[in-house]
Amino acid sequence: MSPVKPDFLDALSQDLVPRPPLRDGRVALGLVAMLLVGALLVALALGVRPDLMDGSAPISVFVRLAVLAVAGGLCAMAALRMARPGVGYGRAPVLRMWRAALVVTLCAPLVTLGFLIADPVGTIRILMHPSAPWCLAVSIPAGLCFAAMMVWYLRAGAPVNPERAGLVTGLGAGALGVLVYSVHCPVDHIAYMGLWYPMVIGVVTLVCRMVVPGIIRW
Amino acid sequence: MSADEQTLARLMAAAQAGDRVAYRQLLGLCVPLLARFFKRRIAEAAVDDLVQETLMSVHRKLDTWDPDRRFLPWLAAIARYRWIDQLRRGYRAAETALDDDIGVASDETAIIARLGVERLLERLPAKQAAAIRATRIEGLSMAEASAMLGQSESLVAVNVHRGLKRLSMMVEDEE
Repeated sequence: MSPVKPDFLDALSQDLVPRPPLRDGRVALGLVAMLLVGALLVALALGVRPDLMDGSAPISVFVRLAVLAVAGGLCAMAALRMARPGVGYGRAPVLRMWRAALVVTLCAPLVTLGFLIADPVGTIRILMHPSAPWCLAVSIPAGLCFAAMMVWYLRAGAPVNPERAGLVTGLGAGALGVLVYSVHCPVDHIAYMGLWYPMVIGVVTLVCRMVVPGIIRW
Repeated sequence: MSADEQTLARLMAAAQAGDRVAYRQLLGLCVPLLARFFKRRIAEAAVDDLVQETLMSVHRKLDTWDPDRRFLPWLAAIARYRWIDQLRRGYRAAETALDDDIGVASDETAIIARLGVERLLERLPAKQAAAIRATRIEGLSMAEASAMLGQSESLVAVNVHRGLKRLSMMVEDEE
């Protein structure tokens, strides 16, 4: 005996309109476009690091940019994939890299703490660099813009673990927000990056973890 | 028509393109599958409602299935999500007896065993699973569950809360 009346199934099928599959690629392109626009706005408003413009920046600057881009990209990819559920779908290693980003974000301040213990005065001077407030003021709103675009897509999808989707969205959006600002960021010291960058990512992640699940639940 | 993966995926692809006949066939094939997903994992009286709610979710989220992937894992994820949602809402069943006769064809048994909800509860710590079974599946009150499980009422509530939270993290897990 069927537990559902045929009328109900008939009504659903009559209500059908063509629904092409969701494609993560389109919103990923949107994120890339947003990244370029964000970097352009930062360049216009605050300027690009001169050594980045002429290619003479230390290798650590390029490593920083690459790490942020890879971390932000992988986390964003993992978050977007959550719009299309499936038992066992999330097992690909590349979709689990957000865990590494989370660990790095949580552990990076320990590096700063190490510098603070070894050289309190010098480290505090670095941490209080005039760039720090700008880092927060630019990166956090930028990160929230990236998050908004990802949330828009997740709302259209069917995330079955809204809490995790919120967390991973925040990690990716936060990293991309820092990436936007880092084209200007004049400070290369690891103690500085170990405090302010994770703080941006942490704030965006916390906001997303708190707010996003309620928005994307279906 | 049999509810094998290939047939379901073909019908779903046609449904995404707007083929109502294929979609009606697909829904018809999903009904018994979903009923078996939920049988014994929710009070008998709630199964019909849950199947219907899951079909509504399938309808609303039709475009989230990727034609490059298998259909049943997608359906299972949606079914598990709705099931956990139902548990969270604390359905109290009037009818609590559970039917032991699952009566599933052998090929479907394997699919349901692998993708269904059976194993999720088994993966929870015993006290959390017992608290969820007692209060959300068998429909006991907190006091009744507390007496049956030998846990205080507040501990039952905490175990239900923690168990549901943990379940929601496992929706897409295979094991």
